[in-house]
Amino acid sequence: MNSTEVILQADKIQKIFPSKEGDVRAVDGVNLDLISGEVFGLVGESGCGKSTLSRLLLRLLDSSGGSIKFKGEDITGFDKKQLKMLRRQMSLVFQDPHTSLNPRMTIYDNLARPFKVHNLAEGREEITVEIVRLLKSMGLQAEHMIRYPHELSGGQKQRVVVARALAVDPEVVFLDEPTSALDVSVQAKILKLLAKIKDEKDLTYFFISHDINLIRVISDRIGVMYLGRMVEQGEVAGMFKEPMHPYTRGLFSSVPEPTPARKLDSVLMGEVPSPVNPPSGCHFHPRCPEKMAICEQESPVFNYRQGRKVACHLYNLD
Amino acid sequence: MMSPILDINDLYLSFSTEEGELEAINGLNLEVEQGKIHGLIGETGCGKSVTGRTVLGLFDSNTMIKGGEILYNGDDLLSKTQHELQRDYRGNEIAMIFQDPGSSLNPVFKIEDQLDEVLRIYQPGKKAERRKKMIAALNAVKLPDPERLLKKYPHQLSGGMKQRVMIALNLACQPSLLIADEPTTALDVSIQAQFINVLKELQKEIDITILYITHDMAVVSEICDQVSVMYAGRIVEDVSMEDLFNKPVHPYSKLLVSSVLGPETNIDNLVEISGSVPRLINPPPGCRFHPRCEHMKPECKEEPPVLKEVAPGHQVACFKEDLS
Repeated sequence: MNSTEVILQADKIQKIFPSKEGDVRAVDGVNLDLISGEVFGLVGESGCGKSTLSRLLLRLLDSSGGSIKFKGEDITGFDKKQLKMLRRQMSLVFQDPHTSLNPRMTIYDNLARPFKVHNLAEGREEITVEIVRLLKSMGLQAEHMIRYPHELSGGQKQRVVVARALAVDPEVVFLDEPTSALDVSVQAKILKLLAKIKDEKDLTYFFISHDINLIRVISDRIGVMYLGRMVEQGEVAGMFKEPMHPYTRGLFSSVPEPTPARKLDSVLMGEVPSPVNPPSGCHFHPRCPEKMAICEQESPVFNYRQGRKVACHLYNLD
Repeated sequence: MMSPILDINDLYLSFSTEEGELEAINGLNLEVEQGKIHGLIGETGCGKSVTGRTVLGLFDSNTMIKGGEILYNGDDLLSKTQHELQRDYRGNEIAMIFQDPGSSLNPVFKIEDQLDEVLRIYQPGKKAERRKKMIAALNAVKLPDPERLLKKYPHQLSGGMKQRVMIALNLACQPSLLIADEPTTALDVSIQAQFINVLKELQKEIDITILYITHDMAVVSEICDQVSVMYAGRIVEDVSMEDLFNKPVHPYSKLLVSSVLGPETNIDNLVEISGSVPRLINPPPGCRFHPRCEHMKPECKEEPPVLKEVAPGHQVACFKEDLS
């Protein structure tokens, strides 16, 4: 990271899904600055809204409130034509490579789609040149072009999916659990490849994972979400050294460490409550070991504290 | 040494597929000692789940047993009929929990009915007695308010609760051996941590033996006493959990341990394993790991190495001269 230019900014972004039992506030007023050239890792447990947040930022979902700026320009109200241009600047890699590729198309046809949709290359020859270049940059061979997805291994498929995301030459790539369907040995390869491509192409990554050890390896900064809200954000080293929010602490200490001598000790008790009827005040208070009276009444605001942002009343006591 | 509760000897198992015979298990030897949590680890497709299912005689129609024996307390389970397995072993002796708790429970029945069904089949008794057993089982897995829980349907429970109901369901019949096939893979870390702690406590309380199938090395370090590392249908190393992490011997175990993401890992020192798991239709001859092995010798291509003891409780299948 050599600049601190904010490439993508979310301001009190919100997404409410109506349901039979009431409104689900999947994303509830999240502020986020994505800095150009960084890897931002987003962690949180199932249902905390991390995938919804990424889809809002990508404008794949319409937000219910708040605004999103890409390079200073408000993209919240973009129309179809403008969005199509935006798709070339931000792309997405999904979790499961097995369902991300069209099984009835060859790898060539799968990869040719972005070039055709965005008129980035014309004619079969030009597209072929581009696809070969892409495949090679992913450590695959030109001959993979004529194969079908089922003929490739999981790791190879995920490389094709990444290649497709990079076809449009984007600036920001969203990676939603890109390695969770892969084995450890394959995961290492994909992570190294992603890091290499990022440096070569000067990309910004928004990396979502529930695997906290993995987020730790790949990210520069991380954000922790709980029940639709961002509870803590900061540089990766500091966050792991000294997590401030009680949820972050509980979450990190629940991660099993691959060291025989260290066992899980203080694990987080209870479960994530239903987002339909979230607890009042700070959503985390029913599970919080350091709950105070104010926590039930008021939602804590995001506060700066030693280069960290924390939404917790413990740190608002000045 | 105590005799093992489960002793699998030279098991060979294949699947017939359109492309030919898939040799999923190829001379597997596995001993699980009474009262231990024994980990069975390996990557996707190495045959670890098939091994677990085979113990219980849960076969798909294209399965062919090619040889070997599965001794449970000395009785060969492979020589039993499905009827005998059902009557004498499943449930009361050996139980199994699967990866996805959501699809293991029947969505249209209440928890009470599902627990009761198990008890009616395996532990017949009066309704009031069965109900006591149900409550006890739910209490044992630390589920709050069991009375109310019995009236709920699976969709009203979270993933972690469902997985604990699955354990309760299995433990209601007091089996001696529990086969757990990736029970926490579908769970969040905090729920996984709670689950691991419940399972560890339970294991101590009721002295059950657990065969814990997983690909997650971090979970192995939390819960297992002994570990068998599996590669392409064979056990390549059988070792205590501490030694697996501190001094793995087999080249594959070493790679597996080094590829684990720990607190000191960063993108530069991340270890890549070259090559990939072989296809088991026409697998490599000899030691199936040889195409990826940096210590490969001519004999590795000819005969598969057998498990040799390198230290008490530590066996390795490798032709490497310096097995340490």
